[in-house]
Amino acid sequence: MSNETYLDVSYVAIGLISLGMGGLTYAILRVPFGALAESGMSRTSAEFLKRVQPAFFVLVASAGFFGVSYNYTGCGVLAYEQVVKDRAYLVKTNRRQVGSTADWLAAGVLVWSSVATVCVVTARRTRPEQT
Amino acid sequence: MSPYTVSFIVLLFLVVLIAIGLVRWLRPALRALLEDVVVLPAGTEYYLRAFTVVIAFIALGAVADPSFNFKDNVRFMEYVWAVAHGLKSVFENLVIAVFVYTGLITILIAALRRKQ
Repeated sequence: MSNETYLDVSYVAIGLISLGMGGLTYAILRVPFGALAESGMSRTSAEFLKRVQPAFFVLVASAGFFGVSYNYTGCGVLAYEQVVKDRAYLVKTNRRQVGSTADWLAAGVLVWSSVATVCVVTARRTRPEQT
Repeated sequence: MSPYTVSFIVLLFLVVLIAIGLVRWLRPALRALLEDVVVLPAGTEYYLRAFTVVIAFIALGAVADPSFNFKDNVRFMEYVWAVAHGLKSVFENLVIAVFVYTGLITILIAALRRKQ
Protein backbone atom coordinates (compact mmCIF):
# COMPACT_ATOMS: atom_id res chain seq x y z
CA MET A 1 0.00 0.00 0.00
CA SER A 2 1.44 3.38 -0.97
CA ASN A 3 1.72 6.14 1.58
CA GLU A 4 -0.95 8.20 -0.20
CA THR A 5 -3.40 5.32 -0.10
CA TYR A 6 -2.52 4.67 3.53
CA LEU A 7 -3.14 8.35 4.32
CA ASP A 8 -6.57 8.32 2.65
CA VAL A 9 -7.69 5.02 4.17
CA SER A 10 -6.32 5.67 7.65
CA TYR A 11 -7.83 9.19 7.79
CA VAL A 12 -11.31 7.85 7.08
CA ALA A 13 -10.82 4.81 9.33
CA ILE A 14 -9.54 6.79 12.31
CA GLY A 15 -12.32 9.34 11.78
CA LEU A 16 -14.88 6.57 11.95
CA ILE A 17 -13.16 5.02 14.97
CA SER A 18 -13.27 8.41 16.71
CA LEU A 19 -16.96 8.78 15.97
CA GLY A 20 -17.43 5.20 17.20
CA MET A 21 -15.70 6.09 20.45
CA GLY A 22 -18.12 8.99 20.87
CA GLY A 23 -21.04 6.71 20.08
CA LEU A 24 -19.80 4.08 22.52
CA THR A 25 -19.52 6.67 25.28
CA TYR A 26 -23.08 7.79 24.56
CA ALA A 27 -24.29 4.18 24.54
CA ILE A 28 -22.69 3.46 27.92
CA LEU A 29 -24.18 6.54 29.60
CA ARG A 30 -27.48 6.81 27.70
CA VAL A 31 -29.75 4.67 29.91
CA PRO A 32 -28.75 5.94 33.38
CA PHE A 33 -28.62 9.56 32.18
CA GLY A 34 -32.02 9.23 30.50
CA ALA A 35 -33.53 7.90 33.72
CA LEU A 36 -31.85 10.69 35.69
CA ALA A 37 -33.10 13.38 33.33
CA GLU A 38 -36.64 12.02 33.44
CA SER A 39 -36.69 11.87 37.22
CA GLY A 40 -35.12 15.29 37.72
CA MET A 41 -36.46 17.48 34.94
CA SER A 42 -39.70 18.37 33.27
CA ARG A 43 -40.68 16.28 30.25
CA THR A 44 -39.52 18.89 27.74
CA SER A 45 -36.23 19.48 29.53
CA ALA A 46 -35.55 15.75 29.79
CA GLU A 47 -36.31 15.33 26.10
CA PHE A 48 -33.98 18.19 25.23
CA LEU A 49 -31.12 16.82 27.36
CA LYS A 50 -31.53 13.34 25.94
CA ARG A 51 -31.20 14.81 22.44
CA VAL A 52 -28.24 16.97 23.35
CA GLN A 53 -26.32 14.04 24.85
CA PRO A 54 -25.51 12.15 21.60
CA ALA A 55 -24.74 15.41 19.77
CA PHE A 56 -22.42 16.45 22.60
CA PHE A 57 -20.37 13.25 22.54
CA VAL A 58 -20.17 13.22 18.74
CA LEU A 59 -18.97 16.83 18.81
CA VAL A 60 -16.42 16.06 21.52
CA ALA A 61 -15.09 13.06 19.59
CA SER A 62 -14.92 15.16 16.40
CA ALA A 63 -13.07 17.93 18.21
CA GLY A 64 -10.51 15.39 19.41
CA PHE A 65 -10.06 13.88 15.95
CA PHE A 66 -9.91 17.12 13.99
CA GLY A 67 -7.73 18.74 16.64
CA VAL A 68 -4.72 16.79 15.38
CA SER A 69 -3.26 18.18 12.18
CA TYR A 70 -1.00 16.46 9.69
CA ASN A 71 0.59 19.59 8.30
CA TYR A 72 0.40 22.20 11.07
CA THR A 73 3.19 21.35 13.50
CA GLY A 74 4.94 23.29 16.22
CA CYS A 75 7.78 23.94 13.78
CA GLY A 76 5.64 25.40 10.98
CA VAL A 77 3.50 24.11 8.14
CA LEU A 78 4.51 20.93 6.29
CA ALA A 79 3.82 20.54 2.57
CA TYR A 80 1.70 17.63 1.39
CA GLU A 81 4.76 15.91 -0.11
CA GLN A 82 6.62 16.12 3.20
CA VAL A 83 3.68 14.60 5.05
CA VAL A 84 3.17 11.76 2.60
CA LYS A 85 6.79 10.65 2.24
CA ASP A 86 7.11 9.51 5.87
CA ARG A 87 4.96 6.48 6.77
CA ALA A 88 6.10 6.56 10.40
CA TYR A 89 4.84 10.13 10.70
CA LEU A 90 1.47 9.11 9.27
CA VAL A 91 1.14 6.24 11.76
CA LYS A 92 2.19 8.50 14.61
CA THR A 93 -0.41 11.08 13.60
CA ASN A 94 -3.09 8.37 13.54
CA ARG A 95 -2.14 7.36 17.08
CA ARG A 96 -2.23 10.99 18.16
CA GLN A 97 -5.74 11.32 16.69
CA VAL A 98 -6.97 8.34 18.73
CA GLY A 99 -5.22 9.64 21.84
CA SER A 100 -6.64 13.12 21.37
CA THR A 101 -10.15 11.73 20.90
CA ALA A 102 -9.80 9.66 24.09
CA ASP A 103 -8.57 12.67 26.07
CA TRP A 104 -11.38 14.87 24.77
CA LEU A 105 -13.98 12.22 25.58
CA ALA A 106 -12.63 11.78 29.11
CA ALA A 107 -12.97 15.54 29.62
CA GLY A 108 -16.38 15.50 27.93
CA VAL A 109 -17.72 12.84 30.30
CA LEU A 110 -16.59 14.91 33.28
CA VAL A 111 -18.26 18.02 31.86
CA TRP A 112 -21.44 16.10 31.08
CA SER A 113 -21.45 14.76 34.64
CA SER A 114 -22.03 18.32 35.84
CA VAL A 115 -25.32 18.25 33.90
CA ALA A 116 -26.11 14.93 35.60
CA THR A 117 -25.35 16.54 38.95
CA VAL A 118 -27.93 19.25 38.27
CA CYS A 119 -30.43 16.51 37.36
CA VAL A 120 -29.75 14.62 40.62
CA VAL A 121 -30.09 17.74 42.77
CA THR A 122 -33.32 18.71 40.99
CA ALA A 123 -34.70 15.18 41.33
CA ARG A 124 -33.96 15.10 45.04
CA ARG A 125 -35.61 18.50 45.50
CA THR A 126 -38.78 17.28 43.87
CA ARG A 127 -38.74 14.06 45.93
CA PRO A 128 -37.70 15.13 49.44
CA GLU A 129 -39.38 12.16 51.09
CA GLN A 130 -36.55 9.89 49.90
CA THR A 131 -33.84 11.64 51.94
CA MET B 1 11.01 -7.31 18.78
CA SER B 2 11.80 -3.66 18.17
CA PRO B 3 12.44 -1.32 21.11
CA TYR B 4 9.20 0.43 20.27
CA THR B 5 7.17 -2.79 20.55
CA VAL B 6 8.80 -3.81 23.82
CA SER B 7 8.19 -0.43 25.40
CA PHE B 8 4.66 -0.28 24.05
CA ILE B 9 3.76 -3.69 25.50
CA VAL B 10 5.26 -2.83 28.89
CA LEU B 11 3.48 0.54 28.92
CA LEU B 12 0.18 -1.05 27.87
CA PHE B 13 0.48 -3.65 30.63
CA LEU B 14 1.27 -1.04 33.30
CA VAL B 15 -1.44 1.37 32.17
CA VAL B 16 -4.11 -1.36 32.14
CA LEU B 17 -2.91 -2.51 35.57
CA ILE B 18 -3.07 1.05 36.95
CA ALA B 19 -6.50 1.74 35.45
CA ILE B 20 -8.04 -1.53 36.67
CA GLY B 21 -6.40 -1.14 40.08
CA LEU B 22 -7.70 2.41 40.50
CA VAL B 23 -11.23 1.50 39.45
CA ARG B 24 -11.31 -1.61 41.68
CA TRP B 25 -9.89 0.36 44.60
CA LEU B 26 -12.34 3.27 44.42
CA ARG B 27 -15.49 1.76 42.93
CA PRO B 28 -16.91 -0.06 46.03
CA ALA B 29 -16.52 2.99 48.27
CA LEU B 30 -17.86 5.26 45.52
CA ARG B 31 -20.90 3.00 45.04
CA ALA B 32 -21.62 2.96 48.79
CA LEU B 33 -21.28 6.75 48.97
CA LEU B 34 -23.50 7.35 45.96
CA GLU B 35 -26.17 4.92 47.14
CA ASP B 36 -26.18 6.69 50.48
CA VAL B 37 -26.23 10.25 49.15
CA VAL B 38 -27.85 10.19 45.72
CA VAL B 39 -30.50 7.54 46.56
CA LEU B 40 -31.60 7.42 42.89
CA PRO B 41 -30.34 4.13 41.36
CA ALA B 42 -29.97 5.79 37.94
CA GLY B 43 -27.75 8.46 39.48
CA THR B 44 -25.50 5.90 41.15
CA GLU B 45 -25.25 3.93 37.91
CA TYR B 46 -24.49 7.06 35.87
CA TYR B 47 -21.65 8.25 38.11
CA LEU B 48 -20.09 4.78 38.35
CA ARG B 49 -20.17 4.35 34.58
CA ALA B 50 -18.85 7.86 34.02
CA PHE B 51 -15.94 7.18 36.37
CA THR B 52 -15.03 3.94 34.60
CA VAL B 53 -15.33 5.54 31.15
CA VAL B 54 -13.10 8.47 32.14
CA ILE B 55 -10.38 6.20 33.53
CA ALA B 56 -10.59 3.95 30.45
CA PHE B 57 -10.25 6.87 28.01
CA ILE B 58 -7.33 8.34 29.91
CA ALA B 59 -5.58 4.98 29.73
CA LEU B 60 -6.37 4.69 26.02
CA GLY B 61 -5.17 8.23 25.36
CA ALA B 62 -1.83 7.52 27.01
CA VAL B 63 -1.27 4.21 25.23
CA ALA B 64 -2.36 5.50 21.81
CA ASP B 65 0.18 8.29 21.77
CA PRO B 66 3.25 7.15 23.72
CA SER B 67 5.76 9.35 21.77
CA PHE B 68 8.72 6.94 21.97
CA ASN B 69 11.82 8.16 20.18
CA PHE B 70 14.48 5.41 20.02
CA LYS B 71 17.81 5.47 18.24
CA ASP B 72 20.17 2.55 17.55
CA ASN B 73 21.72 0.42 20.34
CA VAL B 74 19.04 1.02 22.91
CA ARG B 75 20.19 0.46 26.51
CA PHE B 76 17.99 -0.88 29.29
CA MET B 77 17.53 2.47 30.99
CA GLU B 78 16.28 3.98 27.72
CA TYR B 79 13.38 1.52 27.82
CA VAL B 80 12.72 2.56 31.39
CA TRP B 81 12.80 6.25 30.46
CA ALA B 82 10.45 5.69 27.54
CA VAL B 83 7.92 3.82 29.69
CA ALA B 84 8.31 6.38 32.48
CA HIS B 85 7.59 9.16 29.99
CA GLY B 86 4.40 7.37 28.95
CA LEU B 87 3.39 6.81 32.56
CA LYS B 88 3.94 10.49 33.32
CA SER B 89 1.07 11.54 31.07
CA VAL B 90 -1.14 8.76 32.48
CA PHE B 91 -0.57 9.88 36.06
CA GLU B 92 -0.96 13.57 35.21
CA ASN B 93 -4.27 12.98 33.46
CA LEU B 94 -5.48 10.58 36.18
CA VAL B 95 -4.71 13.14 38.88
CA ILE B 96 -6.70 15.81 37.02
CA ALA B 97 -9.60 13.43 36.29
CA VAL B 98 -9.85 12.08 39.85
CA PHE B 99 -9.58 15.62 41.22
CA VAL B 100 -12.35 16.95 38.95
CA TYR B 101 -14.53 13.88 39.61
CA THR B 102 -14.04 14.16 43.37
CA GLY B 103 -14.85 17.85 43.17
CA LEU B 104 -18.04 17.07 41.30
CA ILE B 105 -19.09 14.43 43.85
CA THR B 106 -18.24 16.82 46.69
CA ILE B 107 -20.44 19.52 45.16
CA LEU B 108 -23.21 16.94 44.76
CA ILE B 109 -22.91 15.82 48.38
CA ALA B 110 -22.79 19.42 49.60
CA ALA B 111 -25.90 20.35 47.61
CA LEU B 112 -27.87 17.34 48.81
CA ARG B 113 -26.71 17.43 52.44
CA ARG B 114 -27.48 21.16 52.63
CA LYS B 115 -31.00 20.39 51.54
CA GLN B 116 -31.35 17.78 54.28
